[in-house]
Amino acid sequence: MSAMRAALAAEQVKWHKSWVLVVAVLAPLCQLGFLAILFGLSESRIQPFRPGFRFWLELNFVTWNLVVMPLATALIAELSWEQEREARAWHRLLVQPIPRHTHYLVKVLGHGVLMLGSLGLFVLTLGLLGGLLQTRPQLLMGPLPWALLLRFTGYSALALLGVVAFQTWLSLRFPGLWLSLTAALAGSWLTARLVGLTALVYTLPWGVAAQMGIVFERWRVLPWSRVPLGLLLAAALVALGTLDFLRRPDAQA
Amino acid sequence: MDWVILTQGLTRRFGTRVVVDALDLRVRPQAITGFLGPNGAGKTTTISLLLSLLKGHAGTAEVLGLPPGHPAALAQIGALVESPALYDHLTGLENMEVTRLLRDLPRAEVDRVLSLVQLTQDARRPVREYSLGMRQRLGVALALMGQPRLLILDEPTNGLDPAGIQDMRELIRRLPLETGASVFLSSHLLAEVEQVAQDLVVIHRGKLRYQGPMEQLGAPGQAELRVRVGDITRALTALAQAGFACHEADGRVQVQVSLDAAPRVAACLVAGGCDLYELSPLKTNLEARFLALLEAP
Repeated sequence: MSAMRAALAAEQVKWHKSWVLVVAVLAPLCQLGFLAILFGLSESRIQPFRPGFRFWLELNFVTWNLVVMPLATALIAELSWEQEREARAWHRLLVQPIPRHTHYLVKVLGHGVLMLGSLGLFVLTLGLLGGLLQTRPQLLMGPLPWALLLRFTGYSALALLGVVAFQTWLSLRFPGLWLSLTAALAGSWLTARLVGLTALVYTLPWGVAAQMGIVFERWRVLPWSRVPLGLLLAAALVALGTLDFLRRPDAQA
Repeated sequence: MDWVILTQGLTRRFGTRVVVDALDLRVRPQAITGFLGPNGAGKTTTISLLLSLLKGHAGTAEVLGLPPGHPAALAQIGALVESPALYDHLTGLENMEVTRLLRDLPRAEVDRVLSLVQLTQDARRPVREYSLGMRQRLGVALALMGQPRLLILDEPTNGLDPAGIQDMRELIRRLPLETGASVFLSSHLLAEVEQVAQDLVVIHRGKLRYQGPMEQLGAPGQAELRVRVGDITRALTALAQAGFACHEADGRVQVQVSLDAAPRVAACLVAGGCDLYELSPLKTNLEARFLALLEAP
C-alpha cells in the first residue's frame, strides 16, 4: 500500500505543467461555457423544458457523460502514457523498488483521480453558472434541484470508472491520439444507440455512462441497479490491463 | 565470494539474432568493473537483462544475490540505462522528486546528489532547457539517489565536455571508497574505462571475450611491469638470474610477470643491489590487446 501511495505521489508530480492537467481543467469549463452561451441565447427554446435549472442539469450531464467525459478520458490516458513514452521513462521507473503491477494500477488510479477532479470542477461550475442563469427570468430556471444534482453527480462518478479503465488499457496497448479519440467517440455513440435495445450494453465500457441519455425522458429513472455490473467490468478491464502490462516488459523497455 | 552480479549462460535473442550469447559474468563487490565492447556488442541488452527491463531466453542471473527485478535488489541499485530518462516538462528538481518519492527517501537526499553532480544552481530550470551534459549529470544524480550498493552506469560520460568527463571520472572513482558501492560501468571506449576500472569485462557480438583484472587483459595470468631503476644492466641481470623474463625499453625495464609477483620482483631488485624508483603495471599495449580480443574468431 505504501508503494502505491509513493507511486501515486510521484505520478502527481508529473502532472505539474502537463497537458493532462490542462485537459482535466479545460474539458468541463469548455463544455459549460459553450452550453451556457447556447442556453442564454435560446430563451424561447428553453422555456418548454421548464423548470430551466433542471434542464440545465440534464443537458450538461448528458453532454458530459456521452461526449466530453469519454473524450477527456481518452485524451488524458493517451497524453499520460505518451509522457512516459517520450521520456523513455520505463528505463527509470521499472528499476525503482516498486512492484511492477503498481505502475499500471497507479496509472489507472491517477487517470481516475484526474477525471473525478474534473467532474468535481464540472459540478461546481455547473452550479455557479446555473445560479448566473437564474438571474434571467425568461429562462424560468426555478430553484437548484439539489437532490437531482447529487444523484447525477454520483451516477457520473461511477460511470466514468469503466471508461477510465478501458482508455488506460487502450492507450497502453495501442498508442495513438486519433485512435484513442475515435474509439472513445465511436464507442460512446454506439453504446448510446444500443441503450434500451439490449442489456449487453453493460458489457461495454460506456454502458453506464450512456444510460444518462434517458434523463430527458423525465418519467424514467437512472438504472442504479446495473451500476455494479459496470463496476465489475471496470475491475475486469483493470485486471486485463495489469496482466498485459506485466506480460510485456520488453515493449515498455 | 558474494558476487554483486552473477550470470550463467545468460542469453537473449531478438528474432533469430542472438544479442547476448551464453554470458557468464562475475562482478566482485566494492570495485569498479568496466563493461567494455564496441557499439552493438550487447552491453545495453545485458544491462537491461540484469535490471529485468528485458527477459532472458536462457540462463540465469543474480544481482546482489537476488533475481533481476526483485524489489529488494532494485532498492539497492542505482541505474542509468542509455541516455537519461527525463520528463522534459518538469524541472530537474521535480525529476528528482519523482525518484525520491518512488524510493521513499528523505528530501535532503535530493540536495546531496544535486550538489554531488554540481546541478544545484540549475535544479529549478525545466529539463527541456538543459544541455546534453546537464541531462547526463541529472541522469547520474538520479542513479546515485539513496546511496545504492550497486551502480550500473551505461555510457555515463556521453555528451559531457572534457571537464565534465573528468568530474564524472572522479565521482565514479570515489564511490567505492566513500560509500562502499560497486560500480558496473559500461562503455565502448577503452580509454574511458581504463582510467577508473579495476576489473574489466569485454564482450563482442554478445559473447564474453575477457573477464578479470584490467592489467591482465588479453593475457590471462600475465602482465607487464614497468620498472625504473638506477642501473638497468644490473637490474636485467638480477631479474634474469631470478628467472623473470625481462627486457629494456625506453630507459625502463619491462618484466613479463603476473601482477601478484610484483613484490617478488621488487625484492629481487633490492637484493640485487638496484635502486628501485618505480614499479607499475604497463598499460601501453592495453588497446592492442583489446583490439586483438575483438578480432579473435
